[in-house]
This record gives sequence, structure tokens and C-alpha cells, in this order.
Amino acid sequence: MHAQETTIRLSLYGTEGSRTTLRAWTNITQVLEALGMDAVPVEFVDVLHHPERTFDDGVLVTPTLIVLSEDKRHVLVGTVEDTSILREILAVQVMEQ
Amino acid sequence: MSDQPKSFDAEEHDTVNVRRLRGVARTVVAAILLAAIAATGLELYTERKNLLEDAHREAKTLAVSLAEHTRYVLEITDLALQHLAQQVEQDLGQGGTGHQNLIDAVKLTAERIGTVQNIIVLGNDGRIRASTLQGVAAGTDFSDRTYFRVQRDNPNAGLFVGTPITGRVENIIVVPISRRITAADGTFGGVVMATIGPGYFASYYTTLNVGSRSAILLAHETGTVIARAPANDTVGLSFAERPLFSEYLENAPAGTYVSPPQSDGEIRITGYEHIDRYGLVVAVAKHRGEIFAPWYRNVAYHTLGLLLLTAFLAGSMVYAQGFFKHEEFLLVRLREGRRRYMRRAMQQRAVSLLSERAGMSEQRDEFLANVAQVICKTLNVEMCQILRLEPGEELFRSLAGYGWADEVEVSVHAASGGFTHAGKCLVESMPLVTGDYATEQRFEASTRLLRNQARSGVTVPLRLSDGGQGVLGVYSRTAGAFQDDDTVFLESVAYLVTGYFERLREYRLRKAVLDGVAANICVLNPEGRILLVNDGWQSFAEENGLQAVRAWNDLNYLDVCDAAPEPEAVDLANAIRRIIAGDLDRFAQEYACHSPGSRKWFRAMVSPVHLDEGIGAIVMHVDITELVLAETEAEQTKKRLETLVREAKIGILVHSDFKPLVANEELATMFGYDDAGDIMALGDVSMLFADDERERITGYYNKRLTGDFSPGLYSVKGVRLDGAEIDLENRAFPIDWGTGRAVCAMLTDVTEQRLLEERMSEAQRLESIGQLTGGIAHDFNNLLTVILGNAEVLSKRSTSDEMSRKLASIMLHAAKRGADLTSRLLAFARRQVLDPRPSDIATVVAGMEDLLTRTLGEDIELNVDVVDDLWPAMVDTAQLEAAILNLCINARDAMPGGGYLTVEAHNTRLDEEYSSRHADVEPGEYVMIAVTDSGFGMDEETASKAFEPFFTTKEVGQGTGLGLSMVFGFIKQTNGHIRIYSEVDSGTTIKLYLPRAHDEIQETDDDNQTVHAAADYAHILLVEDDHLVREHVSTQLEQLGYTITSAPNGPEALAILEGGEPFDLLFTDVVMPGGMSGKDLADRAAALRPNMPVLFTTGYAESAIIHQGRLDKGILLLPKPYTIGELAEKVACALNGAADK
Repeated sequence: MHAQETTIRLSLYGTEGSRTTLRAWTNITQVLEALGMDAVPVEFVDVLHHPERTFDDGVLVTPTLIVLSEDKRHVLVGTVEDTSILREILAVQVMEQ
Repeated sequence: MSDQPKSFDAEEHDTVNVRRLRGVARTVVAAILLAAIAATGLELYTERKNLLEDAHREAKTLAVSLAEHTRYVLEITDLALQHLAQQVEQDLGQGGTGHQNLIDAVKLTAERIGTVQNIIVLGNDGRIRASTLQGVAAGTDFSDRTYFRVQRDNPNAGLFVGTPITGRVENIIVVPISRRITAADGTFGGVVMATIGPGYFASYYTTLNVGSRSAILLAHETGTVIARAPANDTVGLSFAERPLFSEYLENAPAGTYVSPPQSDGEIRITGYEHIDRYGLVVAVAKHRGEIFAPWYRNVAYHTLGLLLLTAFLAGSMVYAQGFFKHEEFLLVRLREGRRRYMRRAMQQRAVSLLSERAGMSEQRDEFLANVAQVICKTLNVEMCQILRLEPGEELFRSLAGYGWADEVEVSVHAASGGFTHAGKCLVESMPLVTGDYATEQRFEASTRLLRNQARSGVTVPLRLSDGGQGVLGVYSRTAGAFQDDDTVFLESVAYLVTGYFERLREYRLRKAVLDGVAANICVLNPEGRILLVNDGWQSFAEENGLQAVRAWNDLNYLDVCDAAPEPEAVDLANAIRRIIAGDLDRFAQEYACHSPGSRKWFRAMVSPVHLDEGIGAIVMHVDITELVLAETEAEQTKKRLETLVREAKIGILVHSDFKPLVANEELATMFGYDDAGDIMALGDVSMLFADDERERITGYYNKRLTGDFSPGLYSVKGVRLDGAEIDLENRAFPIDWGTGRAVCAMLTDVTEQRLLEERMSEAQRLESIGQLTGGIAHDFNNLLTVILGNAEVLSKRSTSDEMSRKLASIMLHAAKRGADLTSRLLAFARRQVLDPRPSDIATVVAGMEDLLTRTLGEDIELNVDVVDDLWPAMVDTAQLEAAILNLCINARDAMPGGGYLTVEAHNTRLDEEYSSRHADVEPGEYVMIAVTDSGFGMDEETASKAFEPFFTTKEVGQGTGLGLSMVFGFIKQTNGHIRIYSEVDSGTTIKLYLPRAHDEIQETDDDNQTVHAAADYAHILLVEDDHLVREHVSTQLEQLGYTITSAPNGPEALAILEGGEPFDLLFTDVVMPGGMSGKDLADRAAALRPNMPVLFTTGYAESAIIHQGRLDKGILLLPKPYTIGELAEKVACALNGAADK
């Protein structure tokens, strides 16, 4: 998992205390644990504290998860209730690495 | 840079500026270059022009200078030659002997004229006389020389400068300058000549340094070159063909011109000066190349400068172009960045807007239509559609659309499979971007998309919280219209939409709950401003016209309450403030809210609610009108029940196992207690009942509670506090009482009622007997009328037959007794005809004293006690006398051994209480007559039957049993009252209560009553339904001398009257069949015969002319039965009455 730790970045944009953000966080960590990628850190970006970064990263609603892997960028809008998409993205990243 | 993003116009402006700057830069560079070139050209041109002008001027000036120089040289030479010539001439004048002197002179001249090469003195023969030539032989002949010939041949030739010639001695080219030597005689004396080498001029010219390629020419005016520098090798050559000699010299002695290219191909600027005195021409030809050499350098320098400038500018331009290109690149990047920034900002703004609207809108279709529109406007694309796929269905259903050409078809369903853009998106559950439908391979664009000319599109899935799915599709008529950010934007909007659906669902559920509450609810923020109201509140406000529907958010509820006049509103406002301030947990109050159209009550309840902005309040107004009304009704009912219980004239006792729960005052009164509290203080209410009743009522109680049968109404003996027993009627029933059961006993003290009932029963029995006896008496009277009449006739006709007369007399007596009997019966039955009038009872009683004394006998002491101010009474005095007499006779019979009998009369008042206790007694003022004896009295049972007819304690044959009955009937018919008080062995008192008369007492005039004789001519119409009576009476009247016409009923009698036959009297029975009574007939007859008197007869007191035993006023009545005498008297009276009229 060394490659994962260095090349995959997950940033969750949300607001602290938000119910939907918490749901998204829970779903993301569950997917990571299920894939054995629980070492991959998930950066939490509080949009209220980082509005400029939020805007620059093209985040329009919270929660939004951005998965960065080298040259690829995936944006998942919402609470990641459908975890299959995130699973697929992470699986592809792992395979490519 | 400003924080505010520039608009696209501003970005275009920047790009245009860069481009314009690039053009300007190019133009400036070109302008600078052109200006430099122009300036340089102008400068070079000017310089060239100046150089040319300077060259002309210099050439001319130099030519003039050189000409002057030449003149000077030649003049010096000429002066020297003239001096020499003078010496020669002098010499010649001396014969030519001074040769040495001449030589010296030549040498001296040569020395003086440094410019000459040699000086030669020729003799007139052309031979050398002296010279500076070395090695020349004397006498050398030069006479062939031109200059010799010129001088020789032209005495005025003066100084003659000849063309260059080659020296014969030195074989060098020289220019001969000669002067004539004139002999003293004027003849030609020879020639002095100086030769100047061309090199002299050439050297001199060379020193002028006019340029290596320029030339100075000294030539003979014929064109022969004398000297030339450089290229002095042309000396002697002729330039006669050259323009100077062939063209310019002829036109001007001096001037300049541009010589055409010479043999060397060069053009020169030539200045010339004609030395006319010596026939020489000096020309200075400046080589144009040399003239322009500095110019050429300048040109070169300028050109180089221009080239350098051009190079610099070009380099600058290249650099600038690069800079501009980079700038433009940066601008493009910046513009793209700005556009992206703007696009993202617009998207963020759109998301923010839609998020705000999603939180506000309750109308799903309106919100979704707004979403579609905002998406199109934000992304600057043409079409948007929001589709929904219900579980189990295969076709999408359009929820909203925007921009479609076929708006009508917006609701057309789209296939949900993976064959369409939307379907594919849904299948893959990911955003799906198509740059161009024309090249799309993954699916086929729907015909609808193609029909709407869609070229590119993005679809994102919608995952709805209710389990449904949907697709948000955006389409453009431009290929590749979408960027990565657009997909994120659409996903964000899709997330908003799904969130909206979820919130809408939750909102509707919450609203349903909120609206379902039967209360008017509003939520206030910490300032008291209304944040939310439910339907109940809204409806109440609309119904009462309180506020506009959508104006709640602008309303401060505290202000509304403060402004309300009702004190409850102010209390509510204060409570809300305290709750918001945290000083109060909750608050509730009830208040009335009435309007002209309704009366309502509410319960206002306030509780805190924690909002983001602080503590607010939830205000609930619950309509408790029904509850209040119910409570009011219950309270009123309770009060009514309490009043009923309290005021009920029935004893109410609720007890549980004989422990009192409720007792009313009547119960207390009934049992002799002071108040109900005394009853409630009893530990066991069974003690209220007789000892021998307790077991029975306890059994009833237990059965009643267990549901077994027990009588609901029964009689029971109660025991008053004073120990007296009372008759009770108990209506008992079980009731729920709290958590248990109890029995409610409704007790009625029927002790009095029992007595009353007994009395009533007695009265009813008497009434029945009366009705019976009355009816019998009526029929008897008819019969007795016939019997009595016939007995009278028979008695009168049997005067000769003693036996027949005696039998007739017995029959007549029996008939009279029968009539008396029926009269008593009618009296008892209160159906006798009375004539009550205001009567002085004292007089009546006083008038009877003698009669009573005789009737009572000596053993009985009569006492009469009448008060002085005795009221008059309304009574038939004759009947009253009979009644008193009857009572006295009964008293006498009760005192066979003698005693006392007291008749007293006084005034009395019977009050309500007395009236309530005695049936048929009206409260009021009465005259009471009491007859008291000291006889053996009666027991209670006997006394209770004393008024019954035919009841008697006397032995058979001594009493009819109708005495007290008659008195009873008479008193009752008189509206009076009779009471009997008797005790065995103590005597009896019977009290008669006669109603007080308020009219004046009328004096009776019995003495004026006279029997008038019958009128012979009288014609009487007799109407009687009983044919026996009718025949009998008709016979009797005819015997009395009257003419009789009889009729069996009213209608026939009326027909007779209508026939016009005259009658003097209508004698009619009252009660008749046929629907017309005697009174009716009399009334009809009065209409036909107003003056005809009417005599009624009846055997029954209650009839149309007798009301309540009293004869109507003006009515003349002959009661049945009657004797013929009574008939004759009454008929005569009737006829006389008519006659009196």
C-alpha cells in the first residue's frame, strides 16, 4: 500500500457537524476499510474555513469528494451513498499503480 | 487585480487591447523606421544638394581663383617680359651691343619670375638672342613658332600665351608666353618669351588637393590643354569637343555645369572661368564621387544607422511580438481562467440560488422547472430535462423541461434502457458526457434530441430518497459545449435536486403532522418574528381576515400581541418574551376569542425552541371551544344537577355500601335533619330506614350492584330523626362512582301523598258515585215528572173514589219522595241547580235558630256563635239552610242522650299550604260555619266514609245515608270546603267553608212573587224529546188552558217557528238529541221571535244553561220533576215576564 499512500489523495469538502458530511465521511471510510486502504488519509476540507480553495477546486455543494491520483481527478458529489463508484475508482487506481 | 472577476466583455477588451497594442507597436516601429529613413533621406538629399551646390560653388570659386592666379602669374610674367622687352628694345636701340647685358637681363628676369622655366629673347628673325636655355645654340631659329608669328604678325598681340609646345632644346613641353619687342622705329624687334612648364600649374593645382579624381584644367580657349592636374599627360591635347568648349564657354565666360560622364565614366561638377585677356580657360572639374564622398559616407553611415535602427526595431518588434504573443497567450489563458472563473462563479451562484430555492419552494414542478431554466442559463445551453423513472417502469416520465422546441412534448416518455443517453446514464449510474451525438457510439441519440438539433449533452443520474431514480439531462445545439466543471456542476445540481426531493418529502410529512395537529401553530424567532405557521393558523387568519397569507414572515407576533386590546394578549406576549429570555419553561392560558359570527375559546401554549439564531418560541393556539362549551355545559349541568339535587323535592341519597356519598337538603328535611351535612356525617345511612326494612334494602343493594334483579321502585319505611316513621318511595339504580359503583336512591316522602291519594281516591269515588247518581236522578226526574203529574191528575180525578184517591195520594207521596231522593242525589253529585248569591250568613244562621231549637229538642243545648263582622258568602241560602239543618239532625241523632250543639260562624283564610294539603281547596277567604256536637263521635274509618251516599251509621229506616252526602255535594258545588273532625266519644265537628262574597248582598223579594193566571189565549211551543214527558206535559198545559204545539227536538221546533205560526212561549227541554240543545233552539228562536219568552226544563243540573250548578243570568228554569202547580206557576211567570216587558 505504499504506492497508495503516496499517490492517491482523497479530499472531502464539507462542513463540520453537517449530517450529510458525516454520512459521506462514514461511507468513504467504510469503502477504504473494505478495500484495505484504510491507511489512505482522507483530507477534510471545511468549506467555511477554506472558501477560496473550495472555489478553486470547483466544489459547488457539500459534501463533495475529490479523488486525486497523479493525473486523474474524480469528483463525487453527495454523500457517496452509492459506494460502488468510489470502489471502482479506487480499484482502478490500485490496479494502475 | 481586483477581486471581482472581469466580465467576458472586459476579457475581450483585454484581448483586443493586446492585439491593438501589437498593431500599434508595429505601426510605431514602422513609423519610426520610416521617419528615420525619411529624415535620413531628407538629410542626405539636403546634404547631397548642399554638396552639389557647394561643389558648384567651389568649382566656380576655384576656377575664378585659379583664373586670377593664372592672370597673376601671366601678368607677373608679362611685366617681366615687358621689362625685358624694354631692355631688349633699349638694347636694340643701342644697336644690339649689349648682348651680355641682355643675357644678364634674361637671367635676372628669369630669377625674378620664379615661375618660368626659361626666358628666351628672340630677334626679329626668330633666332635666339639670349636665353636661359642651357646648351642651346645661338641663333637657333624659332621663327616657326606660333608665338613668334603671332607677335611678329600682330604688333598688338600683347602678351601671348601660346599652346604648349615641346621644347626644342629640352624637349619638354612648355607653355610659351611671349611679348613683342618693338623696335624703336616701331618695327618688329623680336620676341621675348618665357616658358612655363605645365607642371608649374599642375603642381600648383595639385597642391590645391581638389581630389584625386577631380581635375583642374588650364586650357587654351581653343580647347588645347595647357595644364591639368592630375593626368597632366593631356597637356597639349585638345578638349575642344568637350562641352566646356563646345557648349558652355560660348554661352558664358564663367559658370558651372555638370559634365556628362567622361571617358572614365565619371560625372563631374565643372566650374570654369574664361581669362579672356589671355585666351585661357581655367576649369575645375570636381569629381562627383569625391564631392559626394562624405555624402556617400553619410549615406553609408545613415544607411548603417537605419539598418541598425531597423535591426533594432525589428529586433524590438520580434521581441515585442514575442512579448505580445506571450501576453496574448497569457491573456487567452487569463480569459480562459476568467471564463472558467466566471463559469464556476455562475455555477456556484446557480447552485446557491437553487439551494436557496430548494429550501423555500414547496411546489415541486415549479422548482424543477426553475432548476432546468437556471441550468440552461448558467451553462448557456439550450435544453434541459429532468426525468424520473418509477420503480418497475420502462419509460421515463418528464418532471420538468426547458428550452425544447416541442414544449408540448416535454412530458413524452423516454426509454429507460441503455439505448438512450438518459438510459445509459442511469444504467451506468454515472455522469455521461457526449461531445457530439453524430459520432456517439455508446448509444443512439433519441429522435427527440435530434429533432431538437441537440449536438452535445450531459446526463447525470438522480438518486431519489423515495427509491425512485431519475436523470438530469442538459443538451446543447453546439458540439462539445460542455466542460469538466459542467459535469460537476450538474452533479451538484442533481445532488441538490435529490436533496430537495428528500427535504420535500420530509417537509410534507412534517407539514402533514404539523397541519394534522388540531391547533394553530406558529414558530417565532428570538425577536418574535413569525418563521412558520401551520395550516390551522393560516386558515384561522384567513377566516378572520387577520393577515395576508404570505405576510407572516414580515410579522412580529409580539407586536401583534402588544397591540391587541385584550389583556390576555399582553400576558401572552410577556410570557413569550420570558420564554425567549429563558426565564420561563413554558406557558399556557385560556382565553376567549369571540367575533360577531362566532364564540370561540382557545388555549395558548408557549414553549421554547432552540434555533440557530437563539431561543425562539413555539406558540400553539388550541381551539378548546368544544371543550369549554362541554365544560361549561358540564359545569352548568353539574350546577343544574346540584340545583336539582339540592332543590329537588325528592330525597336523593347516593351511597356506597350505605356510606353516604351525596345527600340533598330534601333528604335531610325528609328525615328531620337540619341539613344534608348531617346526613353525610352518618356513617351508615341504613339507619335512615326502619329496622325491619334494612335487611330487605341491603339485599336490594347487593343485587343491584351485582346486576341481579332488584326492584327499581319500591316502598319503604323511613325513620325520621325524631323517630317518626314515614312512608317512602324509593327509586334506586346503580351508577358508576369514581372507580367503583354506588347506588343512587331517590326517596320520596309519600306519607302525605298516601293520604292525599286516599283522599283523592275518595273524591274520585265520590265523583263516580255522583256521576252515577246524577245520571240516574236525571232519568228518574223524567219518570217522576210523568208519575208525579199523573198521580196529581189521578188524585184530583179520584175525589169520589176514596180508595183510588188514597192510592193516588200514596203514589203522589212516593213520587215526591222519589223526587226528594233524586234531589238529594243530585245535591250529592253536585248537579243540583243552585242560585248562589251574596248572602248574610249571620242572618241565615240566626233565622234558623228557632227551627234548630225545635228540631234538636230539649235535651240538646244549642249555642250559636256568630262573629259580628262576618263576611257575606256566595251561597244558595235555601240549600245552606237545608245543609245546616241536615248537620244538626245528624248531630241530634249522635246525641240520643242529649248534649251540646254549637253552631258558630266566623271568617277565616285558607292559605296555600292548606290548599296544598287538601284537594279541591282554593286558597282564599272563607266564611266558616262549624257545627259541633258532643255526641259519640266517629272513628277514623267511619269519618272517612261519612260523606259517601247511602252510608249511614243509623239503623235501617232511620236514615237515607244521603244527608252528609248532600251537604258535601252542596258545599263542593258552592266552591266551598267541608272538613270533619271527630273522635269517638268526644263529638264531631263539621266545618263548612263558604267562599266570601265581595258583591253586595241583594235583598230577595219573595213577597212579590205572585202566581199569575194563565192566559187563555197563550200558545205554547212545547219541545221535549221524551215522548212520555212530552205527552204528559202537553196534556197538563192543555188542562191549564194553553194551546200547545209540541215538537220532539230542536230542528222540528225551529221549523215550526219558521213556519210563522204565532207562539207566546217556548217551553223546551235543555238536553235533547238531534244536535240542537234547548239553549240552541232558544237562541235561534230569539232571532225569529225576539219577544217570545223561553222556559227551560231539565232533570239534570249540568247543562247548556247551568254552569257549575248555577243558572245563567236571565234564564227561566223549571227543574224536573215538577208538580202541575209548579208548572202552572212557572209558565204563568214566564208569560207574565214577557207581558211585563
